[in-house]
Amino acid sequence: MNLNNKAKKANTYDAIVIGSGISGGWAAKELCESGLKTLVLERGRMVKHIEDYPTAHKHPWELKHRGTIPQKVLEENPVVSRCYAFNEATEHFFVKDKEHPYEQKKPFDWIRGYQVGGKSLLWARWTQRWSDLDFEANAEEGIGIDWPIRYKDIAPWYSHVERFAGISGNRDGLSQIPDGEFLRPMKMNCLEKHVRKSLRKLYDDRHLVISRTANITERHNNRGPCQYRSLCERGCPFGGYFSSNSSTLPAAEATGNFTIRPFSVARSIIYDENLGRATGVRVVDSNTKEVFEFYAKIIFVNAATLNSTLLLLNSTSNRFPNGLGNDSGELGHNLMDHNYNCKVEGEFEGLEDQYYSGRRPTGTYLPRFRNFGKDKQPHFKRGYAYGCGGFRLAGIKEITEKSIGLDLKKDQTQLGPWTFGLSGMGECLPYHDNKVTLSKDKTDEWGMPLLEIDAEYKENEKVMTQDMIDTAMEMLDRMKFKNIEDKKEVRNIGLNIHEMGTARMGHDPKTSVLNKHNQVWGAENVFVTDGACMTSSACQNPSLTYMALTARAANHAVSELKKMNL
Amino acid sequence: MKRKTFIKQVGYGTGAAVLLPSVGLVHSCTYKPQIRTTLSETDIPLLDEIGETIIPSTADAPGAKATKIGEYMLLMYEDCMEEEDQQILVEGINTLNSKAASDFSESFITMSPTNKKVLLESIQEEAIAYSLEHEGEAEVPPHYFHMLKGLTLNGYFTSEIGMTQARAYLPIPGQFVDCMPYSRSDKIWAL
Repeated sequence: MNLNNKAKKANTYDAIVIGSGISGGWAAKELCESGLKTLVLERGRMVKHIEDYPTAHKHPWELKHRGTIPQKVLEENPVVSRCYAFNEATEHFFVKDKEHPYEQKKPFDWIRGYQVGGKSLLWARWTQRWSDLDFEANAEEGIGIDWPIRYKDIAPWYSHVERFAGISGNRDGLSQIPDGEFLRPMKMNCLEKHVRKSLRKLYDDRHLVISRTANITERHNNRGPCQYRSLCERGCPFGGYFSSNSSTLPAAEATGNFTIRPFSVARSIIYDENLGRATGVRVVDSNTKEVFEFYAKIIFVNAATLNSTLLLLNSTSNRFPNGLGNDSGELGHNLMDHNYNCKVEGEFEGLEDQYYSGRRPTGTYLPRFRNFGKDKQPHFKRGYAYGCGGFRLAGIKEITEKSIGLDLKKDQTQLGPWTFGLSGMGECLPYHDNKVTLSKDKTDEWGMPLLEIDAEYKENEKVMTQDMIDTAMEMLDRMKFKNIEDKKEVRNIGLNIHEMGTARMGHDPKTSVLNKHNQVWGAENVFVTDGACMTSSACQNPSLTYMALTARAANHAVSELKKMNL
Repeated sequence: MKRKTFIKQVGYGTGAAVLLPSVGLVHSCTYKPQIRTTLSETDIPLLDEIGETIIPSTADAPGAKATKIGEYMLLMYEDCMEEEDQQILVEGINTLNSKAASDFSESFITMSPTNKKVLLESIQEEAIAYSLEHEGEAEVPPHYFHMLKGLTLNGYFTSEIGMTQARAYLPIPGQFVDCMPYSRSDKIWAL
């Protein structure tokens, strides 16, 4: 008895955070800084900032296949191979298909990073804020359920996370992407400046801006600045971009309140029916398969959208027979991604005597203009933004294709024309039948049921896709671009790695899983603050919003603990 | 969804072909090329010569051979190609050798640089015509010449020589210059 108590005490913390990615890192930092002894459970291996970035300084010719993924790896990993960032220099940060299987009812590319830092090592770092255009949309249109928060609730938390993370950006004064706490913006190149001007002349609602980005343009919190190598996904030896590894986890560690346990697969959350709250987390050691229990007053679930929901679905009790917090039956439902099935490019005649230097690790951004302001689209709801960029590559197509020898060598060592590209980034609506469930008969090596994913783009997304393509081509045409080409981008849902929803926030426990502070209805000392909590998807890249929601929820948790409400 | 394969990444699209007079000179055929079923290390010298003909040495930068392009091509053939593409490349090398035999009565390796270029240019015309013929069709297998050219360009411009001598390479740029003057005699960035 005594021994058991001792063991239990040794495994007891004030707070447990499940997952160390972009949101888990924030939970850890905020909770540790508030004085809570915090245990972070991470299912993957340790990745230490800088020392565990083995390819960070490699030149292309130092990689065996110059960056190309070998055929055998492609064949063994059809899903992860489709990810734009998966290459010979980054593959060690990605989950391989075979190691962690899941069931696809319809094609869904689930891209994962199981290590300390998770996908925060790999993210694209674009950080536009959401606005009330986004938070009010569901209520206004009667789609899904209303967000229980508005922009004013999250705005101070956007500022809070931006100040620490370091976001470069320009204050553009556009209400659909509110301005934040920015470091000096990165610059547009000559063609981008030209396009910005042309769009302004031709349209009154198209404002090209430099994307707000978590790459730092000046020294910030002992990191950086960014060296313009654009090799971010390998891990940055200069700390030029925000990741859990470079930023939040070291800050958490510095408090002395931080413990991290890698190789720890959370299997279920322990719910005490007498107390009416969660008491801890059941964990499988991924190497030894030994099962442990850890206990805490509050639990943050930050396993990345679908794994967070998998964990809740697998946490059953008499009180919650269908998964923790699933009184509504909505747990697992309303899965969203973004829709990037639009890529258009055109060539520009002019600016031949202009070039640029350095590899800017971000692009330009054309914020949403559809169903916004005076624009009303009769055939689809919501809107999209474009990720854009101007660039110049070697060679003039006709010469490149027809020559060899001296002519080809000359062609390939001189610049061709400028190209401008637009990639559509469309909002997806929440549909109840886009969902995940647990396999009834299949489990993984660690005893977790396999996740079954059943999701697809529907009519609204398909109609919007065509408008994204047509509108991009029309803009390039009106700006007198040549050789305008629809690059026929087709991606499975999931591949944009913005999976959101499945444990949505709401006003009402009958229709949602989480309340307005990301607390699980019925188990209020459990917080879910990653993409699972999202009630709609907007069209902005979502990570900044996860960070802000996490910091907000963590500070709410601490104040509720102080008031003895948890 | 289709797999993203290396060859599709480096491959070329179609382009308008200008058909030059064919190089089908009649020679007595004394050289008999071997028929390959696979590529191996013994093919490296041949691949080097093909690469060097596509990207030759010049005063400002060594050519593809100096970057060990043959080794690179063999490695990519072995590790980074689908079986069907490997087959196309092997058969292509056989075709190239028999053309060298029938048109020039010698092996490609021993031919003069001028003749090497003449031969590869004639094959390039075939490749362009092939692309035009199949334009708009889905899943057209690549022509072997486009594979060789793609491999050469990709290998050369990711090699140290290609990146640091033929082009200019800044491993750590340190800054982003948004607009800078460019003239056609300037070196362009390797990345």
